[in-house]
Amino acid sequence: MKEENFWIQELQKQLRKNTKLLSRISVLNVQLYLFGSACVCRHPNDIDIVLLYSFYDCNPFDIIELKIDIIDFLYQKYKLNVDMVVLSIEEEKQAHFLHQENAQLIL
Amino acid sequence: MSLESRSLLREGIIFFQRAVKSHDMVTEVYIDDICYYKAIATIQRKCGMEDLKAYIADVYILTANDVAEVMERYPDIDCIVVISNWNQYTDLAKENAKMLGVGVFTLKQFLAALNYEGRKFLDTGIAKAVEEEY
Repeated sequence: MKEENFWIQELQKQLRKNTKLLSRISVLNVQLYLFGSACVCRHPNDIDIVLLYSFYDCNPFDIIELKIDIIDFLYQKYKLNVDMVVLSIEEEKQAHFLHQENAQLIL
Repeated sequence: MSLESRSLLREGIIFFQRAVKSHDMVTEVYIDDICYYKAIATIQRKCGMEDLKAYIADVYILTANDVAEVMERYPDIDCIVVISNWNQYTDLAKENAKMLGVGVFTLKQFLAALNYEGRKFLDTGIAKAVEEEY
């Protein structure tokens, strides 16, 4: 497996196994993107993720809870710090963070 | 969490403290709380201006959701100051914080905002608002 695909595939596999978490991701219509060193390295210092959501369709506290649960789940799996940027679609249109960081879609 | 996952470098806090303390309108800066990812500072100002409680953050980009999270945990703060190398916040973060009566600034903007109170304080860093209204 290519270095740049390793974490994408690994995260997809683990998140899909967790049906409760996957269901909440789906209900809230959230997308997760990987950026940073884990995109190109099999042994990164941490895992950088963008959680993209719709500001006008979601309760911010549902998103905060989901974020905490995803981070806890991934930390338990890999014992790596997970750095999560929570960005709304509306904010992404302004910041172009995904493009700037060359983020890759996980789910 | 994004607010907890980046390390707020101690050098960053020292730089913040020095820059703010040397401001003409400031008498003293107290760091009330400091940890790996954030600090809380109280800034005493001159000329009868109210003290400010600032949340100092080191994040890639401060978003509206980060503002909601900060305000849930620290409802008594007056502003959030981003001091990371990235120095970014979104317009939505600024707007939402403003609706809650909280300012969102880069350090450079915060140094300008220290001269003001009320709406002018909150609007510092919004180019249009400054041009049109002041």
